[in-house]
Amino acid sequence: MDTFSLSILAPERRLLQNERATSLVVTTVDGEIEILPGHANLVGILAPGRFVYQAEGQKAVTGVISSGFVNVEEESVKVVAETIELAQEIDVNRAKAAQKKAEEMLTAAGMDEQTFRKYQLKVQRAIIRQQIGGVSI
Amino acid sequence: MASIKDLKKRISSVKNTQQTTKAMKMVSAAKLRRAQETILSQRPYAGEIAKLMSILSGQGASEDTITNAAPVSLLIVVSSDRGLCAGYNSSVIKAATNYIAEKTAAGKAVKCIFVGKKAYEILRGRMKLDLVHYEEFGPKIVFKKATELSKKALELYEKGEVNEVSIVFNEFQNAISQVIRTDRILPLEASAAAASEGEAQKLIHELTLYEPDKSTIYAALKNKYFVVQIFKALLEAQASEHGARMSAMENATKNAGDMIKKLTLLYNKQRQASITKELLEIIAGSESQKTA
Repeated sequence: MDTFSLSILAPERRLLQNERATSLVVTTVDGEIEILPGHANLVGILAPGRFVYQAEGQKAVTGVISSGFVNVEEESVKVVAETIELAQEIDVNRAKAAQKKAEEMLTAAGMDEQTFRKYQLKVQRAIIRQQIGGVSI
Repeated sequence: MASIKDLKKRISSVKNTQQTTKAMKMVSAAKLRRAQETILSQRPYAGEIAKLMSILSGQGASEDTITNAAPVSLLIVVSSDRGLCAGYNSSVIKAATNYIAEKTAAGKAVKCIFVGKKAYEILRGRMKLDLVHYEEFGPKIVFKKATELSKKALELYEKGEVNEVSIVFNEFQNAISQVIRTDRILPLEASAAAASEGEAQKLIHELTLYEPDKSTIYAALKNKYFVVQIFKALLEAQASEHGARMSAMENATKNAGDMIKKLTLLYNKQRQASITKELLEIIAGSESQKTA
């Protein structure tokens, strides 16, 4: 079976570095895409969302990234993200609390657009984390 | 000449100092190792961001320079919160002073962001600073700190209040040597890597798909690149600080050892002298009795 080399990197964490993988699903700003061996070169912005990768001969691994980029070049795929969390590491209760808090902040009046957007993103991230975290349990 | 009692006191006090410096050296060594690990673990990430930058800047997603910005420079000064690390902070202070003097001579104003107590406290007393932001270096550098710092700098840059951003910090070479650096991080220099790119490479990059499109990616990437550079500088500074403190404390321990040796010699000499003196007195006493 064909494989490609996969790295998933964050500034404070190296999840994978040049490991052989058979498939990768990431969420770009335009939607979810799957990368298989032989994919055309691609540079994309990643939205907060899930990723799934399948290392050669192993079970698929699911996780969440907050934001970042994906770079597909010939047969090497690199994901650079701000933060990476694997599904089993997600604390669903904490995500729930974060969602609640951010939602409360959103209902408060009189914030500028930027802060509003910030809390919106927070809610979005919290929801995604709950979804992914809930699935794996 | 100091009395025997005084000498004894001094020896024990130097011994105490030596123990402190020894302990500090050990702590710094452990922290240094951890700081080095962090540098190593962020390197692939930083490398990848830099590579993406070169791909995109070679692709005509070029720099949108802010032309009507005020002729003001922003300087980020990275020093430590604590002393006892030899020339670490003074070299930062010197470099920052030079930078400010140079810019002022060229007719530019300088705004400052300080990270770390030492440089801030000294420079504040020495000259009038146009301070934008000050924060402590903190016990450990996390990526979030770099993100927040860069946000502050970018905000000024995008508003056109400053037209360049530089950072002065100690670059980590190895445990005993740190090199002071003043790097300009904004506006971005046209990437040299992109310019020297071969034809084949160029073609590959032209065939690359972009999602959503080049300029959006470039805009997002540019900010990330900026954060990464600040993060890198902070990490280098962190490692340098521990390295500098480690070697300073090692020297201090050695010096204390030398001093103890000298003092002990002096102490023994004096002790011997007093014994000899007493003996002489006794002998002289018994001699005089004999003759009597």
